[in-house]
Amino acid sequence: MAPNQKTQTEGTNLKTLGLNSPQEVFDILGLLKVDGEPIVKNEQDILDPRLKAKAVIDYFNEKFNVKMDELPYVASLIKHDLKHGKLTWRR
Amino acid sequence: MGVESGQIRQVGAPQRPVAPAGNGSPHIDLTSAGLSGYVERAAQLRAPEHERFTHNPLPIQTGTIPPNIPVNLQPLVLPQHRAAAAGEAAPAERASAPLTQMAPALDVLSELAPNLRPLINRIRQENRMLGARS
Repeated sequence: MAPNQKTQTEGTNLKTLGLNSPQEVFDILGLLKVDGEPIVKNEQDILDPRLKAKAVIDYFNEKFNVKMDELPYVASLIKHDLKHGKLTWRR
Repeated sequence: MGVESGQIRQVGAPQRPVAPAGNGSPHIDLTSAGLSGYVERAAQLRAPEHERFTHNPLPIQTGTIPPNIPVNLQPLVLPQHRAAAAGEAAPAERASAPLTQMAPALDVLSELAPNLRPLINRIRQENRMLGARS
């Protein structure tokens, strides 16, 4: 196999959306604080990818009726704005 | 002359647990209205092209080149766009040929320049319409 050979993954084309992995979707959305309230309310959940993903999915489903397959598009827009300085990190 | 195993040991900086700086973990502040805007934009991004432009048409006239399009992308505005803008009917052979030639280029361009996607989709849509007419 050539070293530069790439493999094609199935499902939503994350690369096209500027995302590197499905986990990155939840990593980005899990960092959001909306009106001062974190989307992932339990801090321990941030350390567990599954719990973090569940918290993010539940939040967007309850608040915006957004299904899981739509989340990469939201994450992509947020990542884009982070890259271009329209959104900033805070501590 | 060799060095006995264990005689010289590389000692690096002592390992310390990395504590987050500041008061909390890094986060991104958004208002609920701001997040709602992202959700709406995401829905538009995900919607089929014809729905996207039905709900949110762009103020681009057929055949015109918006001033913010780089010069090297201007060849993407096809002759039939100019003909349509001038009120002329493009010849069938000219209208149909670029459809097949442009599609891969537009796909690549769409991936390279996400901010141009609305315009690229508009060009695709116009291509389809012009192709259907011819």
